[in-house]
Amino acid sequence: MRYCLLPTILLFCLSLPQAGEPSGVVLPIDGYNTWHVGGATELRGEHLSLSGGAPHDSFYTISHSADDRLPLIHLQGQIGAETGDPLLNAFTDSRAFPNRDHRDYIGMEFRHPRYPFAVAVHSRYVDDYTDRFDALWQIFSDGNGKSMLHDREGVDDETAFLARWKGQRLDATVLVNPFGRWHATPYFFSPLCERGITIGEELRCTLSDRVTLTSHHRFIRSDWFYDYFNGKRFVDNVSENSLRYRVGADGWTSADVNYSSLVSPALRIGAGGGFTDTLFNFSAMLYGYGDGTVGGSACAAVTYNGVVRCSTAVAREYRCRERDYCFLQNDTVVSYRTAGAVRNTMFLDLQVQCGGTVPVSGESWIAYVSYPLWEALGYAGDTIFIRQTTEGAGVKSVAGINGRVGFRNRNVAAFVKPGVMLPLGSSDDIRLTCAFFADAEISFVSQGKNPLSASLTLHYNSAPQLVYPVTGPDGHTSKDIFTGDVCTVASLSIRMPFIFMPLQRLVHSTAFLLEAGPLPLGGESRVLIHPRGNRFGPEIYAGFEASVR
Amino acid sequence: MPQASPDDSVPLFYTPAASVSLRQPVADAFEEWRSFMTAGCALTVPSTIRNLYCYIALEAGNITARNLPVTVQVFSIDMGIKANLLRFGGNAGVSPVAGLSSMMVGGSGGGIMLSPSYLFKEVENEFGFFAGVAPWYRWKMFDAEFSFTAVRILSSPERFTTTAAALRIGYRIDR
Repeated sequence: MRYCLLPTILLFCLSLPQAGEPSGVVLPIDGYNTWHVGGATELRGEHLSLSGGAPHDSFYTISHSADDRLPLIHLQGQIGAETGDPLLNAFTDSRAFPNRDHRDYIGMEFRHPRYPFAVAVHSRYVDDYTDRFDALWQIFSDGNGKSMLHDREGVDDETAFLARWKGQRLDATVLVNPFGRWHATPYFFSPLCERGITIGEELRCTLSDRVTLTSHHRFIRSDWFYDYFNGKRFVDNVSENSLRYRVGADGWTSADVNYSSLVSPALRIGAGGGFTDTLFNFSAMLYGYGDGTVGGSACAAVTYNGVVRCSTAVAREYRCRERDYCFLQNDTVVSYRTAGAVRNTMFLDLQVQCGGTVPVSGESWIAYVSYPLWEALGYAGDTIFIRQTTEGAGVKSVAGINGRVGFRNRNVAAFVKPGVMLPLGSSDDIRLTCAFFADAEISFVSQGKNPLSASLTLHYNSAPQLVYPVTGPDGHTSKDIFTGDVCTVASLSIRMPFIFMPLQRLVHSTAFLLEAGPLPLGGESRVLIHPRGNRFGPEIYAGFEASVR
Repeated sequence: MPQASPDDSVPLFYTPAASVSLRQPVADAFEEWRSFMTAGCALTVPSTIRNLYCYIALEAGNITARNLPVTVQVFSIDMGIKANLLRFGGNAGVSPVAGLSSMMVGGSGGGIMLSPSYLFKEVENEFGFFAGVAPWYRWKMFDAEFSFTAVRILSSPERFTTTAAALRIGYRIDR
């Protein structure tokens, strides 16, 4: 799993991930930026645990692939807005900041009727949950007499053009993605603008009955506005290549070569193998990094009678060093120094599932995750230094259990999915603590190709806490501690199908979409999910989708 | 294969219509804003559930402040469901309606839906809910519907609440 999640509010989708997905925490900071902690696999190009977009962001993929069974054209448009913002106050004195707290998405995918070829265009504008950024932009503008460059263009403003050929032996996707984004700086969580373009390709090619080549490349040209006005240009290349050879009926070996100019060492070479059987599967990989560091991972799973499944995984990864940089915090220069470190993770999972009219499944898991790096703040004259350090780093063990009880017949399926995650122990200096998560989802889906579906999710987490060691100008060391809110929220999602008769013979499916939440249950109408982020409250996201055959 | 209703005995139709609404701000909104008219179009389509129809109404108009020389463009999207439960013969009935309402006002940077790069970028937009009843009458292929709803936009610090009386006249097209 690329980015594993703990049950955490993922507000981009206004849906809650199911409890029990281990080894990481995702906390939203604003409508675009999220905070990742403890994922089993490293997020590349991030500033420590800060990253943009949702972990499983389908924006950059053709979800409607070049498959003969799928409709020719798929259209989707949605607009969302936070509730509880001023509406008609733009012309009255009560207006404090421009109210642009909304987001919209328009997407279209087209499949060629004869050839396995599809093209797609996705465009989105995200500017919800930016009250804190809005305030900082306004303060900067008032104090300096001019605004930060691009401060009225949303925290995420991008378009993805995609083309995909999905033949029997070749599956190739090309992506062109011009983008403009506002990230959050380390410690201060102030806005930092990045604009640029990504050109990428994904290739999966069957060279023979036994040999498969997988190749991903990304060319990224981006301008980072560290001083608010002048872009500093970076041109980066990221390449991931894997050659897999099938051995016998169930076995395989593979060789990997990865290169990323975003990190140092840029080169990683790996080799491994495994086999997949209906009862037992195993795989192991060994990695060598450009600086001589060695890492590896192994995972195994046993399935008994299709009912009980036990799996385990261990990994030792090198968290590569990223690029140093300096940025302005108002008039103060902040220098950010990065470091590299090794991270260890372990994971054990047990699943039991029974099918039939009343399907029941349960899962329990335990995960051990080390946090090798943290950030420490220091002063030197007029400059602030933030350095990545092992000081304050620690380890954490968490366990979880989740279940799924449902009812299914040929007309409807309804499920209740409760889940709980709790810590088993951690070091005192862990940088971000989230003590307890609990989730429940109640869902209903009618059967058919154009189903009516609805789901209600409930989420609870204890207050997350963010801790920074700070060395003051006088040399005295202390800790800055920031605390979020205890969070109990509900979210609702409905897909309401309708029949579009004017084009009835052409249309495959049409539906209205409604997502609402997170609605805090009790207390304040808005909650601080990330200790240094924006306050989150109810948002309504409405739209439509249509597929033409 | 075309889309299918779960029950083919239920008449399927869709109704494009012209729509005019008189909206009366109430509660706090009454103190600041005069009543206003909006006009536009609406479309009713069947859902995949018997006797349940979806409809969307797009209306635009101007709203004027009571105490300020301010007139603001308003664009309203009502997206809801309508249940044909109470019928009086074959040509008249009363349908409960409910749904989601999105109200947009022109932002400081431009007019409604005139943003050069993004459709809704330069407008202020708030969602809310509406509910009410819609008596309807059918004459030949024409439908007349009188809809009475309460609309509550979940804005802050003050909710924007209105009552709306709408007249929609449409041409009913059967399958």
